[in-house]
Amino acid sequence: MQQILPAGIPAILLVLIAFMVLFSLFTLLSRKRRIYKVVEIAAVALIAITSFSMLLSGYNSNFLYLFQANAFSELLFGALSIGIFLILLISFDSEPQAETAMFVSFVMLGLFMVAFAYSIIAIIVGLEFVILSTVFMILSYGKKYLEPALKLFVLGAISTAIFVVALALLLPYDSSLSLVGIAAAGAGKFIVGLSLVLFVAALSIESAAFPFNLWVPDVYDGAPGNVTALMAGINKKVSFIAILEIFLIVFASYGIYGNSQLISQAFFLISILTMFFGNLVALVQKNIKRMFAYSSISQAGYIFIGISAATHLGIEASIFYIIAHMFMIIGAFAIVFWLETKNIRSIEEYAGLKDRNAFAAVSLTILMLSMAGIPPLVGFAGKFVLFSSAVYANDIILALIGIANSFLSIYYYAKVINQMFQTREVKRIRPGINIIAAVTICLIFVIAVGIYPQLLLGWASTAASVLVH
Amino acid sequence: MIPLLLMIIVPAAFLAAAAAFKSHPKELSVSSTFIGLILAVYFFLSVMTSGSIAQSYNYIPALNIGFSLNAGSTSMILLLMASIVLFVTAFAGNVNREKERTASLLLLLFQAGVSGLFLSGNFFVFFIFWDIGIIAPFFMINILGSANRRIASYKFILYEIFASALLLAGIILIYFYAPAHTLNIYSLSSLYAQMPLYIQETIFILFFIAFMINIPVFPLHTWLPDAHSEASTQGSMVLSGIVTKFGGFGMILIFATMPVARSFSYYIAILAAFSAFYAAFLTMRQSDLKRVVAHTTIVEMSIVLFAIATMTNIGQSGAVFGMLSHGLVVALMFLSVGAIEHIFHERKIDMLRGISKGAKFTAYAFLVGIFIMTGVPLTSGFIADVLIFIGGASAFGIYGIIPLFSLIILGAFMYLVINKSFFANRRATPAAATIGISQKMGYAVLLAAIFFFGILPFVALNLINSGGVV
Repeated sequence: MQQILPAGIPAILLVLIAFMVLFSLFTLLSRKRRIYKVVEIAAVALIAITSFSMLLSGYNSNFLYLFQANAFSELLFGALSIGIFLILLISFDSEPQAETAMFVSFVMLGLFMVAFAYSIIAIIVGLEFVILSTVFMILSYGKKYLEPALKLFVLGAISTAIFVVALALLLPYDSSLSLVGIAAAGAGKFIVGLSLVLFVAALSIESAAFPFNLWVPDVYDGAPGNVTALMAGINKKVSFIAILEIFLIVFASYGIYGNSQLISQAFFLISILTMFFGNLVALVQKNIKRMFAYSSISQAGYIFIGISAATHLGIEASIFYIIAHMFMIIGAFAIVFWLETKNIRSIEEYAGLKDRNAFAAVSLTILMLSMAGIPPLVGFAGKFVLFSSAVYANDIILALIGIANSFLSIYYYAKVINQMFQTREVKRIRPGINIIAAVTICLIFVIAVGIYPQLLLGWASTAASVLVH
Repeated sequence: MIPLLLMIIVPAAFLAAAAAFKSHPKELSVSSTFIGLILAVYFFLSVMTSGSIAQSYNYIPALNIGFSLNAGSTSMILLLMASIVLFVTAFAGNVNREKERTASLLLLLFQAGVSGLFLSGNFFVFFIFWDIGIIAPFFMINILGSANRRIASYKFILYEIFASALLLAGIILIYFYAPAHTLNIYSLSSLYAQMPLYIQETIFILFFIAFMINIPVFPLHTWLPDAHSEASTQGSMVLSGIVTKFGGFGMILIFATMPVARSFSYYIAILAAFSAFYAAFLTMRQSDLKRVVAHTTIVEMSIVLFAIATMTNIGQSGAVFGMLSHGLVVALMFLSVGAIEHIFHERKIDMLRGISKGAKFTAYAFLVGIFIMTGVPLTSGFIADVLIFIGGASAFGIYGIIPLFSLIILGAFMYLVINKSFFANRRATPAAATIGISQKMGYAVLLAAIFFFGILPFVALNLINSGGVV
């Protein structure tokens, strides 16, 4: 199978990304920005296609001592590239065009580094790329966005600091810094346990897990809508990729297969608390972006169910849900972003959305029902696989708590749906074709994969077997 | 052999077509439900001649879950009933042709949900279609309903999603404890015994409460009067006629397959009997014609639950027959109430006088509906009542026929209503509109089905006798 693709294909990917960055610089300098944006979007599409073709041909390799290509990295990179494609699509017309394009391509670079990481250095640099370019992207929208940018910057800095300390604790055992090397060298040492706890803290900040997620609603609410979509859809998922790589490769011999179940127990607690926190606080939100911020916190809790199970099925389910949630939240924020540009922000103002624009109301409804876990949409398929993974891992409690949370979430989603389908005398508005295209892609994914989850589940299974044998 | 999956694919395809094209929404929904009806009759006949059909497809191999469909006796009878009701709803339900496209889309979605639910072979498929069957009526209330629709739909979705959460919890428990993680409804009947007793009881209680909300039975019935009276005519027809049967179908499944049901049945029968009386008395307090019909649903479905809880074969076949009968009757009654509202712009019993003068067909359709509901011979209601109370008497002796009196109370009140609003001719309410031929055809189709099953009950009963309830 491997002969189908040239050996240097990951390098080609890197070149493509570099090309993207370069083009975004052109956008910055040039007056004819549209054409450069179109080229950039095409480049992202090409990158996604390349990544999926690597996945299909079963490509595996290490390169530059920094990166490795395997099914896991190819699937997640490919899927998240589609996410970036959607982000570029929805911010096609938003000012400042050049800066948005440039920083999104830097996020893409960070995504590449994390997804294809062979060395921990790649992960840490990648995460920094993602966070810092998001900070600057928020800032480029104007002075009034200083507060969310600053919050994100400080939190990102704290997260990196903790990450580095955790890494420093591992260094004495293996200085090559490769994920597999550290795993072999540090097995069973006490100090590695401390490092593990610090890693949990560092990555919890970025993935918005329970005790470290208070920044999320402020930043999501404060930032412009397309950047919120980027943060909820891409940044958070990148940190989940980092979590999967670090805990399942570096700490593989520490918690999961040995007699100590430390990782499982830690993520068990994180999962429960994150789900409840997100859902309970979302119940009382009046602003739609804050509601989605809290709902995406609770959705992160579901992803942790699979990580807590730490079996092949659990990781498969988590990967499935990471990708599924990316499509759901980007689709939802695309509509929220578009309405934000029309000055419609609070849940109150969503009343009569179906009279303003039926497409937006119906698609937001479908996306929210999917997030609430209503079959036959992808959210249900993902949750069911997650709950089953808990069942197979003898963790019935986690599954039942997950179900209780699904029920809680319908309460606030139904509130919004109820508002949207009220009859109001309002002016009709129409979204741009780019918003419609992005939302339609998300809807097709949500419905098609929801009806036949095996479309994605098979790939997720292949990807999971890279991490858990 | 035509695959059972066709019952789901047909409405799904029509749904996609109706979503894609803006024109002719009603024609699409009518043709989809008509094809569904023909398919249902075909599968009904083939189950009658050659026993139950089971078909399975690969769905999620990693979890060992297939997309399995099963056409047994109860499921075929209920599916046939649902198909008739859906067909009538599609062509006659929307008198004033309001928001026709939305109504048709929702009806098509609901058709897919119903077909999948009654044909489901494992609990996974059951749950998927259960939720589809809940979401579509939610929008029928929320978008198409009358003045208080927001509160009603919100109440409905909270109750029903709570039920589906309990259902999912029960399913996950089965999944966890069943040998080889099987979810197949029919093969589980022999596997429940291998689970610990307290788990069996937990699963039973979870399922029971979920279905109890849906049926609904006192004390979890409060969503129903609001939901049914605020929905559009189409919405009320499918809500009362079909959605309440989801719970009934589920009850039959758990009572027939779970051995632990026997230890609860006595208490459940008492609860159901109480609920029937409670709802019958509630009905007498109603002043809105639509709410009256909504409350009769609680009475009838409580009696169905009572029949299921007799744990006798005759009682349970009475329950299935009762659901068949009630689904058709209540659709007829909501259709005529919808027509009355359309004709007189009024639903209050106190305000309506002389309906039989202004709307002859509608008035007589409603009257015959009451005959059937109270069990007049030659109608399907009679057969159902006879079977149910023979079952009740054989299970609980003389006490087993007590719930019959709730029907008598209900009937007495209904005849009072008829007397007051339908035949009292003094100061008759003026008719503001007329109904079309499609409405009359709707009455005709439903009445034909009701009398068919009333005069030839063996068509359905043989199916149960040969194949058992499940």
